Amino acid sequence: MVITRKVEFSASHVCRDPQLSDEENHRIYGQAANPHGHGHNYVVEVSLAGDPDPATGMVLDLKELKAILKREIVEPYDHRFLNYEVPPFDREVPTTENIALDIWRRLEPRLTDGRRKLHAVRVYETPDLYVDYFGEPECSA
Amino acid sequence: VEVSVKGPLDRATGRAVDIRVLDDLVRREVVLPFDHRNLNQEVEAFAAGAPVLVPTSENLGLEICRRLKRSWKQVFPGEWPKLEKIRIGETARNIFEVRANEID
Repeated sequence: MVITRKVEFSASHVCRDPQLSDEENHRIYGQAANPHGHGHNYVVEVSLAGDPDPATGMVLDLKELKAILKREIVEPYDHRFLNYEVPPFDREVPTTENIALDIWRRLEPRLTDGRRKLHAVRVYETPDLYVDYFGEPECSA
Repeated sequence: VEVSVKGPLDRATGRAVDIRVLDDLVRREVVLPFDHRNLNQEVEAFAAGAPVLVPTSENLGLEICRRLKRSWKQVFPGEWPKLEKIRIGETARNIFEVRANEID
């Protein structure tokens, strides 16, 4: 079964690669390359796959999940200028794709264990645009 | 609660599922037994038996899925449509999904 919890944060970013010219950045990222930045109200949905514990009937105590999401996502990201304040976006462009990857990296070691695993991270940059990330496909030996 | 059903489009009706049949099933198996009930005291799955089954949304999702599967063939006797999954929005932020092929 899959359980999902939603959290929100507000942050500003600029999508530009400092190695590239203004023209190149504008060609790739459009208005999002404006060096003064712009903001989004991001919505993140975190999904866990697992079976409920037979004793508690829970896949993971939702209070615990809430605390993990607050500590790992909301506190580092909320009301920040991602490029200046939140590594790795001092060196990676904070596209929605890279934000989803970074959230996965932050959460996976906190959530995946013998009972359950991180199943999906969905990041809405706007209500009309979101990215789903399911982790790297497992190695086939 | 969202109930998802999968099936090919019927060319004649332009539908994948007869929504009236689905609505009747969901009303009988989900809404009537659960609506305005104290799940712990009035719903057999959570009131009877030992060890007791706590009505978390995980267990509620499993029970809803079981009930729909149990009666499915009576109302949809053909190969299609199939029950795909159910999804419970416990709150706007907490969501629980059970796929029909996860349970017996």
